[in-house]
Amino acid sequence: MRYTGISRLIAIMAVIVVIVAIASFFGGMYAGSSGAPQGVITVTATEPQRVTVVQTIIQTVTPSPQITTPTQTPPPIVLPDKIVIGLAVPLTGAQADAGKRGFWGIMAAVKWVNEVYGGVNLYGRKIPLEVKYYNDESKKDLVQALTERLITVDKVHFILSTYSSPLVTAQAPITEKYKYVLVNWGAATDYMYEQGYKYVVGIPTPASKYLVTALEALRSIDPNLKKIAIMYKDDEFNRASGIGASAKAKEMGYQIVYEKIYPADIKDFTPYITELARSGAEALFVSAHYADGQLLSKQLADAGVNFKYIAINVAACLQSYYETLGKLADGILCPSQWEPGTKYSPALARSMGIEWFGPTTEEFMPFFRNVTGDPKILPSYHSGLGAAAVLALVKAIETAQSLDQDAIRQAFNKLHLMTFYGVIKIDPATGSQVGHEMVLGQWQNGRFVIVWPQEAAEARLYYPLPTWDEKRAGKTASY
Amino acid sequence: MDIGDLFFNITSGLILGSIYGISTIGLSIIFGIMRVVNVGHGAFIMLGAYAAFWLFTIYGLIPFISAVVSLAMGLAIGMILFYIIMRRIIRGEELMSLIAMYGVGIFLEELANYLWHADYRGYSWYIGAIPYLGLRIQLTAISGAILSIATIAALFVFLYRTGLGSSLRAVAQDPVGAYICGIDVQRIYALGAGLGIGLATLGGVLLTLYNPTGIYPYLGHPYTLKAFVIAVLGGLGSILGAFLGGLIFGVIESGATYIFSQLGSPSPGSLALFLGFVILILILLIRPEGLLRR
Amino acid sequence: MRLSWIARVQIILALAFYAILWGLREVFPQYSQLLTLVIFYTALGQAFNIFLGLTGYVDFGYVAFMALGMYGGALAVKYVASTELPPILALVLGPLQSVAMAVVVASAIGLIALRLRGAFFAIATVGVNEGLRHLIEGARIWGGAEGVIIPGDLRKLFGDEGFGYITTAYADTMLAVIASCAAIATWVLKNSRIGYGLAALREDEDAAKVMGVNTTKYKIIAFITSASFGSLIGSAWGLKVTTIYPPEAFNITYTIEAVIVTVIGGAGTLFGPLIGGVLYTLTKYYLGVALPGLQLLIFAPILVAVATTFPRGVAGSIRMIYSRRYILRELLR
Repeated sequence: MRYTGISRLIAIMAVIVVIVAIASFFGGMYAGSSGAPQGVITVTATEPQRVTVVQTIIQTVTPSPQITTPTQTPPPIVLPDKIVIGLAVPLTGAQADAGKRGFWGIMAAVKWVNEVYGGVNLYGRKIPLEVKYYNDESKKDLVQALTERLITVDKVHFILSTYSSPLVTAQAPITEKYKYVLVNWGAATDYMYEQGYKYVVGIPTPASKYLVTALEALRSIDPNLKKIAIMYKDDEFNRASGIGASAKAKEMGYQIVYEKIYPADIKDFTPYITELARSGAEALFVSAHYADGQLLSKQLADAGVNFKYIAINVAACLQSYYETLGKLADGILCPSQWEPGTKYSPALARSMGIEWFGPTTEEFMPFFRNVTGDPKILPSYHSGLGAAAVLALVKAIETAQSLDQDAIRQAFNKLHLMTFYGVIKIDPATGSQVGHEMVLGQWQNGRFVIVWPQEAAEARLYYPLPTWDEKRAGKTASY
Repeated sequence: MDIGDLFFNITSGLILGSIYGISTIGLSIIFGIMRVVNVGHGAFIMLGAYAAFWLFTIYGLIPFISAVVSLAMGLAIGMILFYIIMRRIIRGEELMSLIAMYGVGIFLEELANYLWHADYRGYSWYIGAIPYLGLRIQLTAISGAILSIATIAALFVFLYRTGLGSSLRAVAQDPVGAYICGIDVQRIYALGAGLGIGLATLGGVLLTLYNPTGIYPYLGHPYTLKAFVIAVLGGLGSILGAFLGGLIFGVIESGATYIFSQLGSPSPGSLALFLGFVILILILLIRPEGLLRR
Repeated sequence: MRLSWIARVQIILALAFYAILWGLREVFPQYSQLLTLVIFYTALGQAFNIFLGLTGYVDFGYVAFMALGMYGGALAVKYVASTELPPILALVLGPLQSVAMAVVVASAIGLIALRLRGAFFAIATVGVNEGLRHLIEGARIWGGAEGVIIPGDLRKLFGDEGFGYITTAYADTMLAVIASCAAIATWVLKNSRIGYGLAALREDEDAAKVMGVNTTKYKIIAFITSASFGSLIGSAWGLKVTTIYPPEAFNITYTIEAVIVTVIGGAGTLFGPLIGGVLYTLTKYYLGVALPGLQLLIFAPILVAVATTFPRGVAGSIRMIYSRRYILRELLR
């Protein structure tokens, strides 16, 4: 048979390959289970750290009470001259808009920490922050490679997440592998915290809660309105949000007369709108992203289908929404993680018995403007999330008085503070965010103002929504 | 199921489909004439959309004027692109041209991102609406459809009634034969490229007549995919075919979504798209060259 | 068919290349993900090349096989996690399931679509890709658009340490192994009778048919082989990213990248995907490191320049330039 030569060669190759595969599997399994450090709490460089200027401080360190594992008095510490935060963020690609805004928020917060706060308090010294960042192009594979590079080559001290659920979920296995805390400000998913990650902590309120504030606000303004419609885009985040809204609405006794899911990249909402028009719904709740949110609003206006109350998350919170739709955007509500108009303040924190940290929104604005270079750009909730992540991290470092990842993770469990972004409190078991609440904003005469909850409100919720024709004629949604 | 609503959706689908069609013709032409697969097609649609946006927002020019401007602009860009890039790749492997055009597309998108940032922009131009079956259709949308049809008509006149158009058709049929007949094939190629790109940017402007929102640098991606499918469905190189394919797709997207939704599906849109692709495959099986011949 | 010694050297070099790439991961663990990325793209190219390079047909919907592979692997994990079966079964069942799905779909496509030529075949496969994606989303199969999420299940099956190991070292190794096998498959096909037939049909399908080459059979063999490897890659990749959403899994960008990797390196050659994969990944990565935010703006013109300067790919161009050097020419075949 003429193939003998090849067959033999193949057989040998195949055997070699299979042996290698099996050997690596078992070998790696063994190596993995024996070599990993088990949460050793020391303050010298066990984790890769960038230690350039060495200033040893001879000082005994009393371990903070929440750290339970050290069994010896830690040796004197070697402090770095900068604490480096590593960041892989989408600056191009599908997530570019959000990623850029979050990036600005992070840089502005870092600036504030360095210039106003003076730096992170560590063992009597104030150490400034620095950010090392890469653009992950909204691609999962790059996220993994770049995150690893930040940890292993650039040897950053801490990692802040990238933006968007798919990218952050791709990032998590890498940070878990290297046992780095992942400060997640970019993914509002619920399930991330159900997967058993030990080192992930979350800043945003999870998706399922997004539209709940809108439902509650409506109930308080118009208890008699029963018929509502819910629409959401077909992706993980919006599904979580839509289903969360649906469940809560049923619980609250609303009658959901129309509930549909639409595909991403949708080009035409007409079929849904024709049904909406016939459904008898008086309020509309939509979980969308930017392009579809804008398109839906426009097509609703085009078709002349009116509602007393319209809440669209994500899309309607942005400046570009109003710039695109103009007067038609007035009256539309948007639940948001944060808006510049929120009223969180040291006084409020005091009254609630919570510690305050960080700048107020007014104090934050000049730093934000400085970072963007354009005074016309307002911070969006992405910027708020990014900044909150930085502030929370700083507080965690100061609480733990350590740069060790496990200590920081423990410190996050103890965190209960209020920032200009709102309350931050982590659930120790899963790392999810339990302290923060969404606010509801509304476009009133061209300004996006907070209308709910009452404590945070800047203006009264305008209800009911003017019709599209009224808005075209110039009526605005303000008192 | 309300027949009136169904009609409304089909009409809406036809309007949308005409936009799809006009956006696709450029792709079909470039492939038909030069056998170059313009994977960066969507980026040019994006340029057209941005052109409409900027001209409206800064200079107040109505989209009808922007359409003409972007057609001219696209023509110029196409010809420049030909002389710089396409000329070299036509001779090589077909796939290399694909890669090169992909690179061009990415470059344009990143340039747009760099210059104009990734904000989702749009504009509002209201010129009235027609009440139709209880709801309304915007005059801007109708004008977009009318302009598409007008453009196709003009294209036909150009291709079948003018000398230049005949040369284009000749080169598309047989470059060698055309050369023998004395046609300057390279110049015709350049013209073909310009025409193809110009129609893409025009498509972008007409797109904004239908949907003036959500304009951002990566706007083109879903359109590129659709354009390919529609171009092949209609028959590569066939203009009327591309338009017809676009109409079919538009109608399926909107009409089927409505029907599926009425049938109770919670995500009717995805099912409608699925149906669309099934039909595509069926048509390709029955008639592999596409619906119409060039 | 006599196997020239060069052919033997070829395959050994290719395998050595993968072994070295994989070994470098151990030597420089801080670059493990980067090296894995290189392996991923070369694997993708290698698998894609089996069909593209050997037959000349472009399967634009290729990413569908990778997606099916991701689903196959992930669903196996979910299934085993929900039962009391031994965890190792998830890792065995995954690839098997992936390949099975790929073979089924590839056979279906092959029987139907391979009658089409050129661009029509390409678009028909796009139709299949998009159709599958919308079907999964619309009919809510396999979790629909919510996707399949397996970190929790992996943890349950393998514990925390195991989870870390599987999503990195194990998956990376699997990719290297798959790439090697794809290289072997390419080499075997090329050097066998099937390879002759494929070369004939690549040049001129009608002439080949007239000469008695069973083009349909050979095309299908190449197609199914290519699809299977694609799904295996997906199976490993799914373990790395741990979440599978339809729009990303079926993202056509992967196909385009596969085209770039294969064609820039030199389609139809054994080393083409290797060269292409290394060049593509490293260029992208280091541009990203050097110019964060601007990398694509610079990368795109480079890509265009490379495409216009090397019309036959790097390997092909080297072969043309050094056409008189027998060894080099044959090595890069």
